[in-house]
Amino acid sequence: MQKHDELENKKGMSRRRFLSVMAGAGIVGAAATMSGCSPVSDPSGTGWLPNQYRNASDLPAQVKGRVPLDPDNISLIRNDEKCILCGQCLEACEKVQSIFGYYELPVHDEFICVHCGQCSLWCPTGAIKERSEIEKVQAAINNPDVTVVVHTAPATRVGFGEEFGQEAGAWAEGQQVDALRKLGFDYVLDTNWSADLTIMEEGSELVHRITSGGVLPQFTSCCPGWVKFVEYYYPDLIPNLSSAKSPTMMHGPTIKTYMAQKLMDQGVIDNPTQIYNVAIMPCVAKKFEIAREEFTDAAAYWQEQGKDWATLESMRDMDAVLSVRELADMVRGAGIKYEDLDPNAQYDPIEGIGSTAGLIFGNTGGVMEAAVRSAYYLITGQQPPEALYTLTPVRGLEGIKKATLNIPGVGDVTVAVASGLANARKLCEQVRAGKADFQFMEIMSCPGGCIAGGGQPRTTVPPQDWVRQARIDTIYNKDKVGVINAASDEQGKTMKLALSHMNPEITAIYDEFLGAPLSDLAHHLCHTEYYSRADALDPKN
Amino acid sequence: MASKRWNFRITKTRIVMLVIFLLTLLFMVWRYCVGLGASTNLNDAYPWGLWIGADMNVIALAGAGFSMAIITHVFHIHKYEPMARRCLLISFIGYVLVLLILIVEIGRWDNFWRPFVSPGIHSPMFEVYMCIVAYMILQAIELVDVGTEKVAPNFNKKMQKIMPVIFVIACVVPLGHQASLGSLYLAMPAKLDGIWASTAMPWLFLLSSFFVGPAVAILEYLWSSKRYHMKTDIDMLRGLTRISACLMAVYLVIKIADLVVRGQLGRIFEFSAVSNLFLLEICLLTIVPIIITLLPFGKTKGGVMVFSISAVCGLILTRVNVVFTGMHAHLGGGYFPTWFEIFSTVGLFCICILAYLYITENFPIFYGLPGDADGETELESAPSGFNQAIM
Amino acid sequence: MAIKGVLVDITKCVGCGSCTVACKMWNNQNYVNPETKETENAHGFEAELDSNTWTTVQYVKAQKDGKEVLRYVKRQCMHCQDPSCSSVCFAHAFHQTEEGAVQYDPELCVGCRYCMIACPFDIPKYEWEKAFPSVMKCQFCSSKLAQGEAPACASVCPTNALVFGDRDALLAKAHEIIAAEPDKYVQHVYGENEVGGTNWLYISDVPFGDLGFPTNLPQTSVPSNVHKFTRFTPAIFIGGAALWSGVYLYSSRRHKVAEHEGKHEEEKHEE
Repeated sequence: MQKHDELENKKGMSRRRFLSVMAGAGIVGAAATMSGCSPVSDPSGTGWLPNQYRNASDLPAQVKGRVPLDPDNISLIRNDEKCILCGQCLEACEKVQSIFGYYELPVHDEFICVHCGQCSLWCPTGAIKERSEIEKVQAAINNPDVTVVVHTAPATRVGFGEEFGQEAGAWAEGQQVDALRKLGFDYVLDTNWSADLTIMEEGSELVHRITSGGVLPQFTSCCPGWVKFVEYYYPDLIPNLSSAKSPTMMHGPTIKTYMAQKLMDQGVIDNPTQIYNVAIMPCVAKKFEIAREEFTDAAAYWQEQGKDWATLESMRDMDAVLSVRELADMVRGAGIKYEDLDPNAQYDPIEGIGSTAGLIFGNTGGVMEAAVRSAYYLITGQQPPEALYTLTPVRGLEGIKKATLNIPGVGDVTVAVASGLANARKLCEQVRAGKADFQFMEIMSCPGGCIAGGGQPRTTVPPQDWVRQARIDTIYNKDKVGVINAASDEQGKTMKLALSHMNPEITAIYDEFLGAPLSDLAHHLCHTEYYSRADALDPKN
Repeated sequence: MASKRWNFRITKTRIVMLVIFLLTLLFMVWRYCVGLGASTNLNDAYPWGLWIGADMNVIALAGAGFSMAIITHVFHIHKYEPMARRCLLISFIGYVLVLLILIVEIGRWDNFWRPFVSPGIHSPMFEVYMCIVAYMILQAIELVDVGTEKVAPNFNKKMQKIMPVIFVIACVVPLGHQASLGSLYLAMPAKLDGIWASTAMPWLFLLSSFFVGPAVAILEYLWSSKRYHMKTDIDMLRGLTRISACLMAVYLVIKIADLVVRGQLGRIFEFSAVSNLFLLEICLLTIVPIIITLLPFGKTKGGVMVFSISAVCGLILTRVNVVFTGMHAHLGGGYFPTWFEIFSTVGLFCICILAYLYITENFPIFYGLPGDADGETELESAPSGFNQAIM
Repeated sequence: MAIKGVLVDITKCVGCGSCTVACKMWNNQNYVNPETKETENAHGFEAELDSNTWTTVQYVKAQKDGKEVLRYVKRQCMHCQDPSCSSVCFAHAFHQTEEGAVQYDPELCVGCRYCMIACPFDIPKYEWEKAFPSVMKCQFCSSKLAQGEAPACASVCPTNALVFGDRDALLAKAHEIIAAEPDKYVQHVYGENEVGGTNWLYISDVPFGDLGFPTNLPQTSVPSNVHKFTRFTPAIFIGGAALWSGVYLYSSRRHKVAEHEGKHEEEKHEE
């Protein structure tokens, strides 16, 4: 017992002290544990779903679910957080475009999509939108070693204003050009120019097919969604597709060859790899189109010229596509006020002058009309008669339109125009069945043409015909000016003329560079090939 | 007994252990605030980690209390009685450790009482939980019996009337949870490696925890003897190893028969990491100890010690192999405990060791040690050994 | 009420992920991965279930007739007929509704996570990031089912890859479908017998193993496997008590006899 006491006095610890230390620690611990938060109580679901889903699943519902969209889709992205499963995208994809539901299940190994972007126009919450390329374009602009060249599609100038609260179809060509300059784009060119070039090539091809007994009807190939649609569903009709590239894809390689040479001569750039090609488009399928593997013709051209500036992989014909919505985002992001933009700003030269024949590419039936005007000239060597300047039967929002014209030396030529791929499908079926009573067929994926393209402003959701019509009207009204100019034979200065083959910059590129339509070099830079995507799906009608 | 003073020697090692424990408490507060995700490496693929592994082992090793109780209290083999109370104590402390770890481990510690009011009676876990709680109550009664022996002899006399019943029940209850621990993994027939996934698992778990009990008891005995410079009764220990070895042989036969019946015998000679770990497990748990008892070496203190260490390591490996090795192929990926998981396990282990030391130094746990006529003198003499104490 | 189920026809799924969105909407969940805190869709090649995501549509590249094909596999709780999670839960936090939905009650959960490790399909996920976490998994929209509605996911499927109905009828239908097109379908209804049968049934044109389904599952329920032991529990206790009592009485009597025979007396151990 004594020992105990001694030891405890030295360095022992009493039980009481030990316990009080322990208890103290315990209380601290317990108190701190109370600081948590309570758990969720009812996990059985108390959320919201649209009313059509408050049923047993075996009841037929008209609208269910949404479109399948590859998370890696090059044109479109979807934000699931915003999706409310309203089913509008499916409505657009299935009923308007006849994509969803037109292939057998199971799928093969990819999501079937033609990148038209109609779903992004129909989506009420903006869950589906274009895959933004703003960042990489901005990076190119910020890079002092890079010359950023941009060209703007015909339909963009009747959409751009709408993004800034202007009435539907407001003409905003000047404002758009000025905005692009203010954003730092070095050269602002007009896709109307390359549309004219397309007319020369595609029109010549049509004439060639008609006169030499080629595959008819010829299909236009300006619309990348339509092209992919043919590759998916009608690979047997690929020979009907015009080999002429779309305007954008003609613009790209000519900028990086013909225009690049001029810029090199001027000392602006050392070699074409310093050019960064951007297109402002009413379209999101263009994002897919520029990424098609085969579009490296400028690089191939320079290699043939013995220049080792770029490999096919390192220099593509086009570098980026911005939809009108993205451009508007850039403008807003840069703090540029629409009111401050110059409505009279002009495009830069070399590849920047376009005819109003190029302009009407934006409307359904426009390519046809422009082509007919120049084809008439190409066949007869004479300017087209006045009737061809207002080809009323192919104008307007009707899904399928046809017209028959008499061209001296050829006879009656029947043309067919459709917009919306469900309408295109009907014409394709006729062609496939050998019942096509027409020689030339223009298809635009989006109803109404590019003016209502998947990259245009979401002025009404879903898109309404009155908006489409307003845009169409603005474009045709501008074309009237060109028609008057053409009729008065006033070429050159104002450039607002309605004939592609009269475009001075078109005649210049043929004289200086390409030689003639369908020449070897023209084939090289302005024509392409298509391939079957039949392996990707089993079509179902 | 008024002159009796409670006593707790403070050494450096003990201070370090106390500090580790207090830090553990502090970190536990943090863990309760941030949740398991931030404090551990447990994840959806590995919902069970170090803590569960530790619990499985501690419960198995705490089986010492029950196996020694059966040997002495049920079979009345008196020569092993010196071991009974000591094993009762370490077993009880072991179960306390299990609960302490579980308090850190379970996600909803505040709901610990739910199984009592909302019993999931089909769950092996329920059986484990209920048996452990029941067993701890029984052990607490047995400890009160020990504790009141000196301080309240009259009360203790009354207790003696019910103690036989308590002893027997306390030998029945652990059968339930030791076996149920093995049946926990019967719920993963498609996940657990075929080497272990057997319906015999509960019985093997029960048997192994039983025969490793003496090994745990022997180690504790040897350690205490060294601390207090007491004589060791090698004959007694030797006897325990022989009992243990007999059961090991039974276990080995069952295990091999089980592998043969399930067509898994070939698997153990694949010499993959999994099969190697199994071979190591079975060698440490049964083959090595059995061989030792057959050799003259088994009659020495060293032999007894190696026997025990091998068996304990083997048992630990058995459980680790089921919890981790056997599940790894299915769970995939990697799990390695965070510092907190390790630290808290160590910290809680520390407080249990401290509790053990405190109790052994204040209660007549060591009565009946060889060389002591009664517990009183033993207790009085114990503190003299403290200066040389290894802890 | 009849046991409900969903028949998933893998061949009809187009990977739109509508079901994953409907699930999040009905269950008021966001798209934040609780672990990485990143916003992510519940469908895709990397999509995985977590406490905040009760269903995913996982994209899987598989081989079919020597060609690579893309398949979309919806994953969620299979709602076993004899569920492991429910049987292993010692707090009875899981129960089956009369429609066959396996329900979880977070109020009762102790957080042992045995359900997670015991689930043959690795479905239950934990709210690791929470101080007071719950186990999370598909509840079969039991609140919708109770009103006669399909679960959220099945109600929104645009291709009827998910069909909700009475399990018996769906099972018959599944057999009808696969028998009608033996060249197309794998002749197996996944979930018919796996772990004793699940209320979600799958048919596919690609072997289920290639799609990430566990194929080594017993054809009997997991609880029945556990029951192979637990049925002995009463026997263990009664038998154990009887055995030890017997031994106790026998051995103590033997000792007393030995003591009476005048051997060394032991005072301390009368018990």
